[in-house]
Amino acid sequence: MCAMPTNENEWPGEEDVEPLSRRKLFTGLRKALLAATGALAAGEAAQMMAHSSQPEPPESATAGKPEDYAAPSLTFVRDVRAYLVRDALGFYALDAVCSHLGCLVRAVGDGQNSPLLGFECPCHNSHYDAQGERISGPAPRGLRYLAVELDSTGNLIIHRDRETHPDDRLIA
Amino acid sequence: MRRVALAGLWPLLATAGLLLVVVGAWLRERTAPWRRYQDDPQVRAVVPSLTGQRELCLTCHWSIEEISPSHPVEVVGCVACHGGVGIALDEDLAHTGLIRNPGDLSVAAQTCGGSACHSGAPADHRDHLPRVERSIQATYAGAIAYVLRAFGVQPDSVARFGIYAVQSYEGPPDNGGRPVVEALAAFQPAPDAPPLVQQFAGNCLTCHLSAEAIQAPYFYRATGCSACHVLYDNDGLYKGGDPTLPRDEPGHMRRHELTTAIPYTQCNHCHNRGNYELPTMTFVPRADIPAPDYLNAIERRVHEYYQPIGQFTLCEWELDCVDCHTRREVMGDGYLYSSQRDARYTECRTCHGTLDAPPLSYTITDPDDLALRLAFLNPNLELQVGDTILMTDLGEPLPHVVWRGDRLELTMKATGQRYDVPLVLGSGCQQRPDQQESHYCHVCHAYERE
Ligand code: FES
Repeated sequence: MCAMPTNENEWPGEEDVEPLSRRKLFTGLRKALLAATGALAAGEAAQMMAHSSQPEPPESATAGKPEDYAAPSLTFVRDVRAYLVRDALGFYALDAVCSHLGCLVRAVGDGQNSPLLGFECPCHNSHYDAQGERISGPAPRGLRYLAVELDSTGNLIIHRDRETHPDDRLIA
Repeated sequence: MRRVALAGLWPLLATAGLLLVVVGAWLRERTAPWRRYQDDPQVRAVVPSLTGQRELCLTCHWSIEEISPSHPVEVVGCVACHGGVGIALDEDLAHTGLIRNPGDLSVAAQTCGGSACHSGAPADHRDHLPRVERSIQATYAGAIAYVLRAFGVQPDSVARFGIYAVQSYEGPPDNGGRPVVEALAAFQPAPDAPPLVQQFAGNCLTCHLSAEAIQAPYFYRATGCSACHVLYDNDGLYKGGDPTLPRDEPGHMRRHELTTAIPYTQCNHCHNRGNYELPTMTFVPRADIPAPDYLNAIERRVHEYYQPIGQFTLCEWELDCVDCHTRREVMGDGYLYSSQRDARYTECRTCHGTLDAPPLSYTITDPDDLALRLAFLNPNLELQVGDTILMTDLGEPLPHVVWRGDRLELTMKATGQRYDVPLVLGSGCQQRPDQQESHYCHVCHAYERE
């Protein structure tokens, strides 16, 4: 049975305890409780955040070194949802997000072993030519050209947030 | 000294209280109902590109089937069709405003509809929803007109009423001259209407796209768009992967999937299930369903397919309903018809041609041709620019009937099974060009039941 104290004098051993050490004890306990609370809440929050989500594509992403890519070649860069193309003139990137409702388009041909014939959307059958121009289907326009740059360490960066001209190439 | 002691105690108690609250929340979270649906419980979120709004529905419904390749969850999500509160994990809160069947016509404008989806322009063939709303399956105008005429309420069989009031599309229909009506009023029999008409209104308005299905084997189905495009098995049991749906409770779709590969069994959830008894105006279900066990698959098919009346040719029960009846007939063309007979227009010659000519066909040259779109939506069809396919008198493409050299090949939409289509031209058939109704074919081509 645990009786609650009825007044301050009944706190056990109050007279025997140094005020400062009691304060220290309380402060220590409070810190421990706070730490436990924080740890529990953070653990739970971390678990909530570590779910299998499908995040929005980042505004830009690195895609390795230019020498990693044969010429010609076509590579899907998942992080930034874009096709990185290397042709005889240099690098450019085409948005892989269909201009209709946003499904990811598939390349027809890989530009290396087989010629790149274009892109098709698995959702409602929009077709784009190899330059990303709309051919057919409900897509209202062609695929966007995304800016490609080299960062200070010589890595390729694709920018989703920066459209560029179809003739632009990164020469690297 | 006492003040010092208390000054230290209250923050400690407050912190302990906070810890209790957090522990309580933690415990609640650890034992949350959604965890029972997963072996490795985790919150599963998607941010559909269409809305950009985070949804947690897959936390419970994590292994549900994707509704269709055209509606991927990472693009459309769940909430755009099903409503609800996508960021909630509590069942009641998450299901606040839930739309169980987005295809129901009462909500389809906000779910399936939209100018970019299924309420688009007729010229683009994207007006599915307004067409369906005017189709005879939705208005039930034919049955209502028939009964009103039978009991002397109106002098002819021209439809004047539907399940709801609706206007026809404007302008003259390009429908081959079939009669249409301009508008229907909502059917509500007058108080002095004959008792049997009153009874009809009370008992018999159950066979249209907005009516709930009879909850019994063979009748299970959804309403609206889903009545056709979401398949139900005859036992009404769910056989998909959603852990929240019971497997032993009848009344559920077969799987959470939309399809255009629609077998005759789906049509039969409404059609050929029984008759209305006119003297009492009550529905009498067929007594010969389910088919007897001794029938083989094809016999079972013909047994279940049609009511035990009339005669049918081989193709009428070998194929599925959607292999002959076109989208304009079944889903409507935007105009209001007084009867099934007026709404229907395919004939035997649409596929078999006549004594003088093969069936109408055309070669696909435009990559935006409607036929390619229809074929893309059906997992059993393959079609490309350059293929020559049949078309109806009204120019409606039949993407499943394709010329392969000098062979005309039909691919069943529901099964992918292929048949060569025999032509009248060059055969011994003596059918006259003006005798196109199927009963003329039955004279020579009727098949007997078991
Ligand atoms: S999202 Fe690509 S065609 Fe619809």
